[in-house]
Amino acid sequence: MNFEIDPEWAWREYSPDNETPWNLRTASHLFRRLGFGASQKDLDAALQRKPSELVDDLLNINEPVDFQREMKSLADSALATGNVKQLSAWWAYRMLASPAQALEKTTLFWHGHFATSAEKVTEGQLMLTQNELLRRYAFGDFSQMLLEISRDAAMLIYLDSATNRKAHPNENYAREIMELFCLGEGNYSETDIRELARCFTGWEVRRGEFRFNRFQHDTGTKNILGKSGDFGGEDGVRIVLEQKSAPEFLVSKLIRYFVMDEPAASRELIAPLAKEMRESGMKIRPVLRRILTSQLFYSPLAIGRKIKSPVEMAIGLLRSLEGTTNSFELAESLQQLGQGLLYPPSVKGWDGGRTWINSSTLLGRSNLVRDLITHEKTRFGRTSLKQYLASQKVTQPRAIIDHLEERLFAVAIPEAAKDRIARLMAAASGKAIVEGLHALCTLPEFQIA
Amino acid sequence: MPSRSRIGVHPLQSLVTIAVILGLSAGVAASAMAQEIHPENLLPRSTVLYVAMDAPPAVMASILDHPVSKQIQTLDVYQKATQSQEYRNFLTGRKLFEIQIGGEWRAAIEAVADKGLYAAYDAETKGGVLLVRGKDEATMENFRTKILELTRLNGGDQQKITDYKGVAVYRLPEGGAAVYKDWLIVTNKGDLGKQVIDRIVAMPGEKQESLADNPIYQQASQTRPASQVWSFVDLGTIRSGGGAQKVFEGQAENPLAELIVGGIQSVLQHADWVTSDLSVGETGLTWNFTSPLAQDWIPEQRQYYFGPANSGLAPALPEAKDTLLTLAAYRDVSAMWVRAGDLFNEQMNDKLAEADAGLSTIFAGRDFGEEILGSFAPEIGVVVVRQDFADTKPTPALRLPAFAMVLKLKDPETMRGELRRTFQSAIGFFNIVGAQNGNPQLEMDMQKVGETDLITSRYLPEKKDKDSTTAPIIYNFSPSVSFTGDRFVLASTAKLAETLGTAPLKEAASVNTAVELHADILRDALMDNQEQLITQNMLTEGHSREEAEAAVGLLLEVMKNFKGAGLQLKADKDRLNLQFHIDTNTPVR
Amino acid sequence: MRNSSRRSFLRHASAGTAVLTFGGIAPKALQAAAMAQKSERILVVIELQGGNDGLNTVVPFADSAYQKLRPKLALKKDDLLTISDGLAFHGSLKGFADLLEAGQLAVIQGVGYENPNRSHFESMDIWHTCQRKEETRTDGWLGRFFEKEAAVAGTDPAALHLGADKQPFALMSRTVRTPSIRSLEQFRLQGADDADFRKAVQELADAKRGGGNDLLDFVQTSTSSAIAASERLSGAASKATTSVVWPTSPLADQLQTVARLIRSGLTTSVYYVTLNGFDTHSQQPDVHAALLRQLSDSVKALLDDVKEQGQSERVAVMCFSEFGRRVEENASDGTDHGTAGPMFIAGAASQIHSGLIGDHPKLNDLKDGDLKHHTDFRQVYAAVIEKWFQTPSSEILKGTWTPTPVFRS
Repeated sequence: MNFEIDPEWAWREYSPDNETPWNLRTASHLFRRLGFGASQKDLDAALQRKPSELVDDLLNINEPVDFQREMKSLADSALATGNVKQLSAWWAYRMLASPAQALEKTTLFWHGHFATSAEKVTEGQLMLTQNELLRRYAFGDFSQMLLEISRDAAMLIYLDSATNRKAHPNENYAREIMELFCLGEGNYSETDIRELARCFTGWEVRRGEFRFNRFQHDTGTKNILGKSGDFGGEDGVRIVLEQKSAPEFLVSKLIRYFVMDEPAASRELIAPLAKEMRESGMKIRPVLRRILTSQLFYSPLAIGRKIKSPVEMAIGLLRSLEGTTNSFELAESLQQLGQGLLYPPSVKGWDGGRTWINSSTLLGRSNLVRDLITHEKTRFGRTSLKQYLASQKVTQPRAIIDHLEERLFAVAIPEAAKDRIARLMAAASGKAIVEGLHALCTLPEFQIA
Repeated sequence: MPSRSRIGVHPLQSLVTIAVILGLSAGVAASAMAQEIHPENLLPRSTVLYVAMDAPPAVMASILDHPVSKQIQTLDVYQKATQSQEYRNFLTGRKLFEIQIGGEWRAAIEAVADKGLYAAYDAETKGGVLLVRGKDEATMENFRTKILELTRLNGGDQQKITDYKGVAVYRLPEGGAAVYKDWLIVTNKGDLGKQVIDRIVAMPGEKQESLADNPIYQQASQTRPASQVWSFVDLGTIRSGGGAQKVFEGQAENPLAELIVGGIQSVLQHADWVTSDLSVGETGLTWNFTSPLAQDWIPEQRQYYFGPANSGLAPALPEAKDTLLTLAAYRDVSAMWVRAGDLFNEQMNDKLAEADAGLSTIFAGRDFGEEILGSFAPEIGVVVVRQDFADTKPTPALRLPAFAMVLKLKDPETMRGELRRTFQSAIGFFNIVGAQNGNPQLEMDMQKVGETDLITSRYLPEKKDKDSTTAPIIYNFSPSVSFTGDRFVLASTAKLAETLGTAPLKEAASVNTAVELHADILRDALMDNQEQLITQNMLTEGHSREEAEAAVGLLLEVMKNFKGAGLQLKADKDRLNLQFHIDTNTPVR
Repeated sequence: MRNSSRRSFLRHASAGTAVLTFGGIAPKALQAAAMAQKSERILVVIELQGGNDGLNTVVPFADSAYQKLRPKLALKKDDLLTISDGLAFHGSLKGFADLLEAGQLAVIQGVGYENPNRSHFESMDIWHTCQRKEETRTDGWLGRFFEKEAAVAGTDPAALHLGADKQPFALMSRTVRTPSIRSLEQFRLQGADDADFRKAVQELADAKRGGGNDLLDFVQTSTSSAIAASERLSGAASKATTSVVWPTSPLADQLQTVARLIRSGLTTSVYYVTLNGFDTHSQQPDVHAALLRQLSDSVKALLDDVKEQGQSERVAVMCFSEFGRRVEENASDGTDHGTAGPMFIAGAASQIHSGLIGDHPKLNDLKDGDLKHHTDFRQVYAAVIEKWFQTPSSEILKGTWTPTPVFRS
């Protein structure tokens, strides 16, 4: 049976009612999507705001200058070791500590979109520069972000485009900017790729820095996507971005990331937002605001309709319970589960959805949870999980289960399952909370956001 | 540890607590006893492990009252340990004990163990025994009554008390406990307890064989110095009983471990006994291990370790400012390498063969074991110094100490040229690899300083790094070598190669191995990297900056109390001695 | 009206829970599951890193040119294990000789490719991707094979890479991710030593959810099968059911893990392991002997193990290296990078054509001092894909290659 979602209904602004009230459940849904997870404090504050106000807060919050300075110095010292893996741990730390989790979550989106792996780039400084670029533009002007990423050293090294001579135009970047960054397959031809590649000739990276080598630039006329002229790389980027499919492609990716894994958004559903994005001059914040304040976003078509990525799972678990831990081991575990920060598996980024799941990754996820909650460096609200929960006035198995369910789960846990876990906890005297939380996080429901 | 049993948790917990507290203070000690009863006379002849502490209160005072222990209690790790369930149980038990005894635990222990604390393990009964000698009979009687009351209060069973040769014995789930005059006896094997009581109640001429009659013990106790804690192990008996086999096996899979302990293992395979003595005081701690040694105990393939006739001595090393660590040792690495076939298992030999192949490639086809390692004398030294970046740019963000190997050339005339060329090609190799990875290039230079030929290499800084104070880690290194007579120095920095090439030799102790760590310099080196320590602490501990600063600050504060630490291994004609020491700064009073 | 607008979010769908079951997905999953059933065959790939000296692996000891070009490294007849007149295995390849004797080993000689590249990395990439540097390489041949196989998401992974190194390019795909595992531990559910916990999570995962969220249903079945796999593995691994004496070496450890995973009933079809150290520029004899011993003893043990499991018909092992080595030895008792070399495929006697396949490359017909290949490595891959896995190979291999006659079926 086929069905389509009515765009007019979908994008109308959500306003709480009896059917979909604004409560703990819906508020934590918002935090899970436009962030990783909400702590008790976040939720208490959230419920004092209207949903649209809260979305505005989250999208507009600026990182305090102190925090930025702190993260910069942390990054510098991670780089000083010369070990890029340190930077991966740095980002995990940043995700846990950031007062602007919406910004981190969206930066992670762009990292998957403009996927670049430190495995190949190897130089930490270049990865950091790119990461800062993605964060700077995360909610901003996509055109500007695209132009800068096209000249980003890490990106060009990753795509084997550190040299690009007119005699042998390198088609790699030209292909990816159309296929993966802007338009999607089917919206360009192989000729467009070849012609666009000529625009980028002379763009190169030397000693970690972008430069334009005019002697290697092809000054002939190029015919790209129906335009012709003596285009340079900047023109090439502009022309690609002018395509009608550009905002459509981006909106569909944003919907998939923030709203639902399945089904893919229809053209009709995308159209109104794509139009708005184009009209706003390819600004990201307004379109995100529309998505996250929509009826669709708070409907059963969105809630519980995503599979958590490893980062969403682990960072979400910790953030929801004000957790901190050893960032190196956390980063390493995320890599094991297939989502190494700064280590995407290919230029296509992470496919997400069902591809996250197989028997190896599911066992890995369960084991990571166990490792995390039993790790000696893991603290919740700077204390033990037991004390932390006690400080929230939850001590009995069933109360603990209900408390965790409300904060960590997008879909309800069957009553029978909760009873079973409560029994497990009652029988496991000394480590009841560990057993209980681990069992909860091994439930299929836990993988759903 | 005994589990929950019929007599209830509390008394057991208290007993365990007492045992733990007594055990905590356990080290051991000498100073001959003037009393008529010596613990050696109470223990069976088949005792294989014996630990003696003659003056527990003094030992407790040295440890517990030292300013360092007070500070350690504020450390993170300590705090964490004290949050554990086990520790909390311990505290509960201690509290109960204090309530019962009607006083502070430490005073109680000092009274109960005033004149000595002894622990032993007997091979025949496979039992352990703790002998505690109190201030006087009244103290012990009082202690006994209180403990019994405590047990009763907690529902203990009076049926557990039996009489043996007129001594009231309280039976524990395993073994029992008894007080006789000023002695407290606790054991986990009834038979062993009986044996001890037999001896303690024996009339003066009623001679019973005891540990004191064991000739091995007699031999070992001749080496007993004045120390606070002394212990004896009857190694021969343990070995023949098949105990602790791992200790005696070779390092079949680990060449590094072989280099460190190989020789000692050969000794342990033959020695009849090992003793240790521990002294703790305001200036630190010294821990000695002594065993007999005979020349023919060392098999041929391990001759590399102590040298011919066990006479190999660690070399004297040149002195450098800000030395953080020195290691001097006699180890004929070449001999070990070529005898690898007899020392290691097949798998390790396969790996060594692979390494040999790789290394021989670097050394232009020369056989690594025989020709390269073989050109050095067995006296080897390692020197680590803190680097001073005061007038060096670029300064790396992470400031690592410089380190060097100091070696002696067997044939300086031939080897100088060979090693110089090898060094040059190695630098060339680094440069090619470095260029492929986009790293800066090493520039070579040669100079002569007095008698020393110096071949240095330095990274040419890239423009952006030139005046940086947060430069990449590689700017810690300027790989260099120096030649002075038969002295060859391979150093991580040009400055250290020069210093160690030109400096006079320090006097060396006549030992096989000596390691010295200078805590003040280590602290300075850590201070150089304080920001790094803080950030790494944040990342590994998940700390906030405030928490990390506090943790690092505290660590550096505690380190102020330490002067250094060291280790010496000495092989005499008939003795092997291993000494380990930690020096603290004398507390300001 | 608010209520009516909420109901109208589905234009063409009927209301109620039925609309929450996205049509089409269940049948597709079933279809994929059926496809997965089709091939139960398993391939274990062993990558020999560094460039194996083929000439001292399968040795033309009778050839005078061999003795002449390798005055120090040439192996003597007495130290070798004879295969045929003039050809013999290196003396360390006892395991391979036994397999050959039992009809379980195909030795494909003279394998390489046109215009050989002598850089480790480049040549390895060519073997992994079937493409040259000039082309855009984003995936590997096995990765492309997994895409064709339409592995069922949520079940056991199509392939597993064992080891802590970077994942081999051959497994890269734009859509199918291959997990890397370092040890069997990663396949065991932590906390499962506690029987109550284990029982609880299994029950919780097995219970059908209902409620119409098919993402949840998907995760539920996957979780259920993951925990079951872990359970089987604990059972299989804890019971010492094998009488095979496994050698102790890093490769043997990894292959033993593979054997246990196969025993546990995992549906994974490709296992990938690597053995490093073949770059023998100097002091070659001891190193090479040790590596070959490790290789052949471990492969033999693996095949014995799966035979004991009664699964030998399902398992084939393929060994390759990025290139062979120069015919003439160098001055440091070693050999430098070369070109063609032998590949090995081992399996059940009923499944493979055991024996020598193709001639030994001629030592009197060298190109720039190197052996000439007569079989392209892609022909061997084609045999694996078409004959072993019964899948068309031309898209996967980026060209049409005649399969080498290795497999019987």
